[in-house]
Amino acid sequence: MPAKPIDHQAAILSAFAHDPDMQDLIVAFVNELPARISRIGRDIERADRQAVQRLAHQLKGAAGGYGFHSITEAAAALEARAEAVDSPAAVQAAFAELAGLCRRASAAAPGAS
Amino acid sequence: MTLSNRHVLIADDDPFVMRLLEKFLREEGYEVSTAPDGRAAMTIVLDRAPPIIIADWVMPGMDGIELCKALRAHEGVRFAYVIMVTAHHEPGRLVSAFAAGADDFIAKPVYRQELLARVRAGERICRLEEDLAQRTREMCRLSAETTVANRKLAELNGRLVQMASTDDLTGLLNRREALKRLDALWEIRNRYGTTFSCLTLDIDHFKRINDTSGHPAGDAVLRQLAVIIRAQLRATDLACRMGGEEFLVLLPETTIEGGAACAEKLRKAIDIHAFRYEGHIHAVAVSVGVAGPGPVTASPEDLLHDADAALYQSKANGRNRVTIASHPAVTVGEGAARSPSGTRRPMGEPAC
Repeated sequence: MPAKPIDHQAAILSAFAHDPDMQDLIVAFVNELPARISRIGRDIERADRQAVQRLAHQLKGAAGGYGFHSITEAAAALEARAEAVDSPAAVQAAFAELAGLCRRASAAAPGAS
Repeated sequence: MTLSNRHVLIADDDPFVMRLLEKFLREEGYEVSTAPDGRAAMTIVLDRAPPIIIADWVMPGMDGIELCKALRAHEGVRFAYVIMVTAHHEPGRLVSAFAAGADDFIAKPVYRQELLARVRAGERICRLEEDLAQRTREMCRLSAETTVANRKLAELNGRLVQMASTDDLTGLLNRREALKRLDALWEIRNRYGTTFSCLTLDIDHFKRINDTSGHPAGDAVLRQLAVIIRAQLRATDLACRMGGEEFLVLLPETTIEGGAACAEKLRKAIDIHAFRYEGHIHAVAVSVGVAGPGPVTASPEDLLHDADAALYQSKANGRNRVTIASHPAVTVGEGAARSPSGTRRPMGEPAC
């Protein structure tokens, strides 16, 4: 079987997707991701670094537990950018990475469009 | 308030982290309470005292570290095992969590198996703490009981000692104590070359009071007599009831002449006193013998014997008088002149 090319648009599945016990929780988490991302986006626009830091920190802590390690890592990167008071562009780039991953996670969720 | 042992409190500001932890724990049969921040957690702690607390480090308002410190400062209700949860991984964080009083540390993401293993470890510690607290309470209770019992025992012992040395009827020293004190005075005299004297008193015709007015009247006379004797004596003198109507007075640092003066004072005080009992007045007199340790006195028993012999002489000479023991005895007081020879009466012969 030929190796699949890396698809940056492909849906991201939770590491616990095979665990039927976790299904409902994962769905609820994933469905809440767009709201989290838009809150962070709004705080970036308002240049409220502390709020960005806090929300990124929360997401970092939560995502891994739901089996989304890539989101945890991206959230950690954004948190670090916001904490280091990096250039808005650097913060923006980290945010874009995170937002992309969250969209892909949402895309995999049942009921997601 | 019943405190559940399988009650876990989760304090985390992220509802999704909370939901995850809650699910893991509920599936294992734990009762779970949740709080979005440290302050809300503290309220639950004070109300329900959950034994295990899982606290997020970063929370708005009161964070995990402050919660931990507050818990440790408020360990009144019950020991709580605190597991600090954080997304940070630096060793410095870990150190400050333990310094604040955390018992364990768990890094996000939190996995089911790790969480449950750490909670179970916490339960083990809680059981030990509970055991220890139980034993400590038990020991405190026993210690308090022992203290109370010891105090009662000491009081009782004090009363027993008092009872063992006191004559019930008159409150004077009893015979046993009198002989002990006499021995002590004897020893002090031998060691320091001091002197002392002793008086034996016997109520004249006491049997008549008992026979005509009854024993309660006799007892009343004995009690009143004890009061008079005590009133006449100095604080260092010792008044004792040797039995029946017989009394002994020990006068430390007093020569036989001083003893005779004291005896005469006592005799007069008793002679002029109106002994009242149930409307009747009884005339009571005493015969007294005075003795002090001399060169030929070999023992305290000898001395008592001398005093008794002098007392016997007072009786023989007409009663209500004082006789100083000497060889031969010298009678003073009321009927002083007639002094027959021989101060020693045969052993066992009554003195009155």
